[in-house]
Amino acid sequence: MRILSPASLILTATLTFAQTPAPPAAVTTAAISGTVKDKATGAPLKDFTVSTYINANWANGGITMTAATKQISSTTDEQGHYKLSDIPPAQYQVRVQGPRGFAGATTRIVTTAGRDLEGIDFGVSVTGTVAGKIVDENKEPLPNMTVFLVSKEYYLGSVGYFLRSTGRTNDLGEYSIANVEASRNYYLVAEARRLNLPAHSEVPLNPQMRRQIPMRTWYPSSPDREGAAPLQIRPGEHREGVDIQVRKSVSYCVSGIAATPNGPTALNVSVEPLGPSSGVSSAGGMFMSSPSTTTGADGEFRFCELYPGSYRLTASERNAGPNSTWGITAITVADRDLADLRLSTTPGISLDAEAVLEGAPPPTPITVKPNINLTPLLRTQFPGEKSGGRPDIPGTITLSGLLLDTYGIRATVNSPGLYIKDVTYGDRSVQYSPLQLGTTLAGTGLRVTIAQDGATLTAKVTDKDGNPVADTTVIAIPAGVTSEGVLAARIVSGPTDQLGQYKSDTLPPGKYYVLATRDSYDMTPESIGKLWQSHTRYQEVELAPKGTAQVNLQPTNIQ
Amino acid sequence: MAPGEPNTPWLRLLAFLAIAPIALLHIQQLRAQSAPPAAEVLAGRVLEDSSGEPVASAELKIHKPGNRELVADLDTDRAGHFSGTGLPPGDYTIDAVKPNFITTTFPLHLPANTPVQLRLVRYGVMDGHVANVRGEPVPGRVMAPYGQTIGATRITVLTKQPGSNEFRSLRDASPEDGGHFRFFDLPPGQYELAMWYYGLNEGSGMQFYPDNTNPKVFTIAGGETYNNLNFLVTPTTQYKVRGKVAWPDSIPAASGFALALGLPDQPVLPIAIALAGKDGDFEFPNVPPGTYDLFTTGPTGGYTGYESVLGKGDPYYGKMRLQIGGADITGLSVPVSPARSLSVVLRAHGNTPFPAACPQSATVALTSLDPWGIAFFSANGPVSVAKEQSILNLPPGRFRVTANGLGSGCYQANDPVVDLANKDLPQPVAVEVAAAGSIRGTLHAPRPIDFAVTLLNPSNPEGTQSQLAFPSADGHFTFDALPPGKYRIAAQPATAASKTRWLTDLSKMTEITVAGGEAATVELAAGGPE
Repeated sequence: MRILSPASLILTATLTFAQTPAPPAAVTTAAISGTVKDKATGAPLKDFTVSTYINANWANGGITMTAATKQISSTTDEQGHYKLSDIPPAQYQVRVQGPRGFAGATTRIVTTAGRDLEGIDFGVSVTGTVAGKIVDENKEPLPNMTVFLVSKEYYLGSVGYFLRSTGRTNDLGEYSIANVEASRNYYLVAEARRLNLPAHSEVPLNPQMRRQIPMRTWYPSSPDREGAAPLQIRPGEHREGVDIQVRKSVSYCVSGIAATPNGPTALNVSVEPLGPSSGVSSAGGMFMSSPSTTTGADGEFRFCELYPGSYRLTASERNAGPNSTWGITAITVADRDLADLRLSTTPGISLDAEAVLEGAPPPTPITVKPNINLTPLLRTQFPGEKSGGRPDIPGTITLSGLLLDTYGIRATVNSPGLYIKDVTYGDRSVQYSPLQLGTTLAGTGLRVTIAQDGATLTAKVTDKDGNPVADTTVIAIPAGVTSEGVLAARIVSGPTDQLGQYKSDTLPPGKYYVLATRDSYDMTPESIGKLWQSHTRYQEVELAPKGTAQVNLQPTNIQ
Repeated sequence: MAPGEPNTPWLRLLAFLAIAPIALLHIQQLRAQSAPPAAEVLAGRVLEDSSGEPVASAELKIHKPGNRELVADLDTDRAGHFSGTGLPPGDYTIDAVKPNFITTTFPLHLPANTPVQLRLVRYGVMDGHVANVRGEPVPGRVMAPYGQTIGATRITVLTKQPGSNEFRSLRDASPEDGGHFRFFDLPPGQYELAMWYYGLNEGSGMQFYPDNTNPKVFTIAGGETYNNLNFLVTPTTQYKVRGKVAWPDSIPAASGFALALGLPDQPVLPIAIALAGKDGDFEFPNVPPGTYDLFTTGPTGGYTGYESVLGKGDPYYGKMRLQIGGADITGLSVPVSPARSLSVVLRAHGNTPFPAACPQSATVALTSLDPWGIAFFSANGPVSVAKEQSILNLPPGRFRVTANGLGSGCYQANDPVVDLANKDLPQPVAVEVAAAGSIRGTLHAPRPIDFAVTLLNPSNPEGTQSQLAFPSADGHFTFDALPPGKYRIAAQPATAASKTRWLTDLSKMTEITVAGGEAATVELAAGGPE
């Protein structure tokens, strides 16, 4: 299993090394220190790591590193104290992370100016644990079951179910999932996930001679997600007794032939149940190995012990390399076996991605290049898949080795005033929605429109007595978002620094609704729903083209 | 119950019995049942071997010889009962399968006059937790910002190798967040338990349970659970070891090297792992005093949660002895040298022609006996009679050479362990094979299927291995793939508590000599069940 953290994913997407040498370093450095505390109880937290990068450029949500970029970090002591030293004057994202993973990681914006800063404290929402027992209809414990922590959340414009974490049962059927974020809904799913799938199952040909098989079961005991009960824990809670009685189903088989363009042959095939499955989510993503096998030399396969539901079959060549062929097929098992399936692989396809500049070219040519990346949403990248690059503005790059599959697009441009206005595929905008390759005429490319009239929002957050409020979230929602899904995709937010100041990345001009709050929000429908209900009552601000607007805010609650 | 004592107190082994996971299962025709069921009905019950309790949710795979698919796939209910209908008369094989139980196979003839009863052997369990001196659980993994592992606690189960006193790492895991660990699915065998850790506040180290001077040996014969195998991580005086890997100019500067420290007399587990960065600098921050071997490997191509993996290009290795105590070690220069190779060949054991029962070629697997801190570190390759074959890119360490794929008529007669640090190592190393023997026996008893036949090899007292066979209704049984030698064999009532199988009195057994390439015949007699 590989878990991508949000941080590592964002870094992968935006981390670039500038060619310029390090600037001369005759500057007054300072120290940043403070305490890391449990947000709920105020108790100091030891062994938390506070870190930042110095000599890097932070802009538009990304970081550009230079040869002089260096990570500075400090681990909290028994009293929760940390101290970062030798920090040159600049604005920093300072991040705190627990000793056992990314969940609950928090970032603060800190501006230094050569003077030591004390009292830069972090309130961390401490994660908890969910534990229980998985049993069958005989109340027998089920060992080696996979238990998924599932997030129902908005991602790329619509609500989906995403794997977030996993546990495995022992011989007593007991599982435990650590680092569970508190105060938000999660779902739990138990599944018998065998990694070695026989290429030709020995399950009886006669369906009446088959035994019933455990099916994917949602907590507390539902075969479908409509019957699933959400689970929410308190910060630091160790929730016990989250037991699932697994449902059983008739066992079905699918059989057929796997073939490359040269005909049937031995291919690697994996079978993964969908909804949820491995893939990318708002939190980064999680990828599990799927049950897989190698078909016979004649390409024949017979997979069994499938319960009703949708599955994704992926066929790949053995010893896959850059020039391999691939095939992805989605099937739905309902109430009978499926026979004569053909899993065909095809070579990767190419896709042009064109960066165009809106408006007249500026007097001095633009030297910055946008970063365009296609991320497969339901799998990791295959070898030979060239899914990203940096075209000139204007200019075109050719992505290659892509599959007829679902991708998410991330396009960024890291320069003041510039922003990505739209990304289109055929006549459809795919800036905030998944891209299904192959759904337009052959030869259609991606068009990335970069606009030059970007604006900036700054906010000063004070309490009712006019004192600055540090580490408060400023939220900006563009007026005219048409649905909760679009709101979730387009919401802009960030924390204030220690002086109560917030500065946005480059934003499209227009009207925004702005709020400062100590509440946190996430991508769950519950949280996005609240913002959707209330956002038109927030403070309005108009960002003029190329303009900067300053708002003064006092923290309020999201409702 | 004292920690570390099994909760199946009946178990007292005279000799260790490494049980091939074939048998321990037996069909007993129940006398108490009344009228026989209809001919096409298969009915029966599955019980746990040591307790006699019903086994619920066990799967019964019914094979018809010659068919690729099962003819039926059944499972047991809460009372351990199963039944199936519509099976035509004939001979079948049943696999009884349940997680955490040994899968067992037995023959079946339909129509059966009476329901069948099967016994399944449960795997063993070892369970405990790891805490520091303040009673807090220690972390299973310590991560640097953005993900790299910089510390870990690992618990390793080691298993005794048949025929030797050597324990090898079988499986390892990190404790959960509460410090708890639990190993299950442990087949019958003898085990030790150890913990190693690095990058913790307490430093690094390696401990056997309960201590390094007298590791406890745990015996699992079926279904034992050993609880409260707890480890305590205590802070000790620790020293830094800093230095630089002096890798050759041909290796790109951006490469990495993996380093591991191991105890020379407990070489299976490392006590600490470190990575050398782009300039070759490395640091072990907390090392307790002692004598260590420092293992160096590179260039690395990445890392798993706990170990590195080799990268592209020719690998380089280093191994040096370190004495740590009294002060930090700094400025250590660690030399590395190119990889070694080992050539292997297949030969007949002794001065005999190459046995016809043995294949002309096989595969050979090299198992590292040193902790190099590198994952996937078992090298393998072909071995043949016709010519020497070389296995490349090996470090200057110790390896065991084992041939696989010899077939049931052939066995490996020697157990070569090579040390590639020895430049004068005679090569090629021969994997010696010989023809295996077999036993064809008949048990004369009123109801042979009420008995199990136990076979022991007492000429190998250190790792006495036992095998079981269950006679057919007419009393026939077989044992295959046996190295030549003297064996003892006895039939015992299979219905008695399974403990009697382990307490076999050698003096009451029949001695039988097995020759290579031949089938020895034996006739046993037994009365009714005691």
